[in-house]
Amino acid sequence: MKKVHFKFGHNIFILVIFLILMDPKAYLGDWFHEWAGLLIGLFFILHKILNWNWIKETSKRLFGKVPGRVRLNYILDVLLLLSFIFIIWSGMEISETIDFSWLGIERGQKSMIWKSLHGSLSALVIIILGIHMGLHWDWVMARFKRSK
Amino acid sequence: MKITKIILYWIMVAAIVTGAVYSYQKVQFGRKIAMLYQLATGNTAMGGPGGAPPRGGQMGMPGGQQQGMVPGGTQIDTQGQSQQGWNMQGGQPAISSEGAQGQVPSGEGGIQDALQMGQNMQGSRPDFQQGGRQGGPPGGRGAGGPGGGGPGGGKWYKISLRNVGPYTCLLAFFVLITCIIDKGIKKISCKKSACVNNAA
Repeated sequence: MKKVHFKFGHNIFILVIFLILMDPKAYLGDWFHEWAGLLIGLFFILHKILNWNWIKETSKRLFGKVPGRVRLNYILDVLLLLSFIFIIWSGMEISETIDFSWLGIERGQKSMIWKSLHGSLSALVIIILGIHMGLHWDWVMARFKRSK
Repeated sequence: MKITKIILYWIMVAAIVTGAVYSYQKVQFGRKIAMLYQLATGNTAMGGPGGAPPRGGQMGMPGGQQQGMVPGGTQIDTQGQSQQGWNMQGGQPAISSEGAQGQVPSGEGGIQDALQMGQNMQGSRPDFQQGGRQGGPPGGRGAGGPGGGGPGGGKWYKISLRNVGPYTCLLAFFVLITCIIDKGIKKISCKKSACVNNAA
């Protein structure tokens, strides 16, 4: 399997899981939501590893002469990364089925701040993800054309 | 051909925008998909039966037997002796025998056969022993029973689509908006020579 095909499948997987995670009661309820939430975190890290060359090169040139589109992409990626970190962190704080006591997090701690942060950031990620996908739409279409 | 493309393009835009706004505000879109899916698959995912209605509490204990007034004692010596009519008394009242009826008339004194000494004849005293106390009031109404059963266990896809549908629509909406803006920016850029370089 080519790397580009793996990347494409991997991205679709992240997208589908993320959309399912928008419903906390989907499938098996909290149990599924929490484990799938952790899993998507790992897949997100993998996404960054797969695109590490682009991140490295753009980081070097970010404050130099780069097209506005690339800069916008970079800013959106940073926002997505931060959002994902906070979503997973707040999810761990309000977790009910997974024991995170080894991290000093009490189980079933239903703080309204964490809950609202978790929900609002998830909604924000939908918007950022939509823009991110829109900016990479040509790449997505190219994958379909290649597969034909 | 070009006009058809443009019309289709704008129909798609209008449909996604309308769907996104409608579903995001009302969260109905996903429900309708779920309903259609259920109709198509024949799985109605019916709700479970309701819980039992609340039961009343146990009735109170019945009241105690009402003991009737105790009849007077057996009258002994009802008939006075002929010559010895002194102080004829009725017998002692019976002790606490349960009687259905109370208040027996007092015993009569002996028949005063004795003509000379018929004085002070007394019947036995009736024993008005009161019946037992009434039973307590009926028991209070019991506490309500457990509430009815929760909604029936629907299939997972029913719940999933309800929220996933609108969010997918919202995502598609932002993808499309970004694509439109991106294409617009590219077109503007194409007027410059850079576009030629990109195309190359």
